[in-house]
Amino acid sequence: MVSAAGSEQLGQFDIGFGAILSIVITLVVAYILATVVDRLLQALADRLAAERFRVLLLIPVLKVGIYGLAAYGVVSLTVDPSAEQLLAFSGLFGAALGFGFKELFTDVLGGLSILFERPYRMGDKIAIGEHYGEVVAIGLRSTQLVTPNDNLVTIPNDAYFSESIANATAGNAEMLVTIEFHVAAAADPTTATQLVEEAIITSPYVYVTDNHPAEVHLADNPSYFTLTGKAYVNDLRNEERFRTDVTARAMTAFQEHGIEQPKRPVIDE
Amino acid sequence: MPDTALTLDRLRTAGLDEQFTALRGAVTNGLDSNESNIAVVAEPFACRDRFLDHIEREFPSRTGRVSISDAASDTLPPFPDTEIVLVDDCQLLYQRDIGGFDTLDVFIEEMASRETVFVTAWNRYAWSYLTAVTALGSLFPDPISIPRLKASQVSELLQSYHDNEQPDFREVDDTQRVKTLDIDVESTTVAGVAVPTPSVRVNPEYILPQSRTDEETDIEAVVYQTIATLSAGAPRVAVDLWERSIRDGTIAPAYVKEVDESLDIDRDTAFVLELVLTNEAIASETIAAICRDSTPEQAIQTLRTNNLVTVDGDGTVRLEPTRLRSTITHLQRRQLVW
Repeated sequence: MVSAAGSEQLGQFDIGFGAILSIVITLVVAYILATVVDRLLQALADRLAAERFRVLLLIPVLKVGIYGLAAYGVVSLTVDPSAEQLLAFSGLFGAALGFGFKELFTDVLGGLSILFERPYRMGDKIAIGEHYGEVVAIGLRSTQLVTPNDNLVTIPNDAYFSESIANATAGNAEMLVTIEFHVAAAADPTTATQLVEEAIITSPYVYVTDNHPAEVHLADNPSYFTLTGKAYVNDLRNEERFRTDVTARAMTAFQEHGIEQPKRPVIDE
Repeated sequence: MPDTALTLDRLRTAGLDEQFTALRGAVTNGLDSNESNIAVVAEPFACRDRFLDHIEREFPSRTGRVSISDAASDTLPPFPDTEIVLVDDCQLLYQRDIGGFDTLDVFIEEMASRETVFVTAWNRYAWSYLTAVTALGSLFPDPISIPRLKASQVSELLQSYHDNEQPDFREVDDTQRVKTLDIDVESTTVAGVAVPTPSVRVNPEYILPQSRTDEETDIEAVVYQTIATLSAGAPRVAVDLWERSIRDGTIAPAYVKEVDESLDIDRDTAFVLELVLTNEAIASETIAAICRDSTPEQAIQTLRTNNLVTVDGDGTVRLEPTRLRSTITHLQRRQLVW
């Protein structure tokens, strides 16, 4: 508790029980509001399917706005600093950053950069460093990905400055998927190519337009052929289903047409 | 209103004269050059067959006609030995499965081997898919696309039946009130709990009539605009909606809108619906053959429950005309059609 004399010396600085209660209520309301906004927009996004990215994009912006307003309210309730106090506080804050909060500050700067430069957005499939997955949350301090194995990976936002980021979707629902097949050198490459192509273009998950073509490339190796199918999945959430569907139907078709797998193990080059 | 009432002349009056003329011109050019093949591309229920009727009527002695009737068939029907061959329901020339393009390939070879003008009619969504995944587009360089009817054209079409016996146009609550916003309560799931949330829907078709002065005309315009929107501009759907919405000689926007329910179906069911939309009519067995690992019976049942399809006694699944717009909107959102 600060005495009355102390309060006068600090200008507007005055923390009483009422102020503490107001701060707590402000923070709780901000938390509840941010959570409700998050859940409602997530629910709305789920209903919009391919257009969900436009809604998901709003979530981090609104959350930053809500917490920013709450922070402003807390500062107003407690300090309401003058210009001199702000300058002194900045000096102390800078020193504190230098000693203890550098990483946190870098994370927050990274978070702000991500929000404004948008190297990725909610719902995108990205690779940061050794992690790959769908962006499910963009916070001020960290970004969360769900990997294909359903692991939730939290990546500090300072990775934005230090790691390369590969974005497979860039805000679109569709995403390019590459699927490889290996067949024995004795197999008919034309038939194998046609079967892979038809497995791709008839998949329930494929999205094919003039700007999103489906292709199959054939490469020759000493003891086998490699067929690489490239096509867009209609919704990046269906990436693994697309791979599984195409692979299963292509393999069945290979069996039906007598196209054999390579007998020697395939070695990645 | 019988389907036969959708005559060529009525469709011309409704605003499709340009397309009929373009088709006739294309056939004439094709006969002169002996090279061109023609594709007529339209939404389901958009009277593609009437365009083929038009050519049959214009060139009666030079035209033969076949219809593709079964998507699962491996063989083509015999083509008549005429200068012009009309082929309806060409979306049934393929099946969305490995090996499902063989019949289409045979058809293309048949076209290439004959000095005949083929006038083919295609479902718009099957056409978009096929031109993306095959070289079909290069065989038909100038397809004739049948546009969706606008509200004024729907009005022309429907009024042509009722010169003296127009139904009474009114709001459902007899207040003649024109609404610009509908507020419904929908359920949104938050943390596993269903929370009722207000859903505000803007009805732009109400805004335009508000600027007019004659109240009777206002409601009439709203009805036609609503029918045009919900029918996706397809004449047969517009007629169907119109007939369903007349009750005791009265029609109201609310009556028309009763068929417009939102869809809540899962991914597998949506794919089955895509098959029905692109084929327009497809056998249950064909759906089962395409959806090997899923359970199409459940999907078909779900679609029936949602009044999206009907199933004939022989198991043929057909798209329900009045749900055409809901179906298209839902499948486009999922990027299952484009």
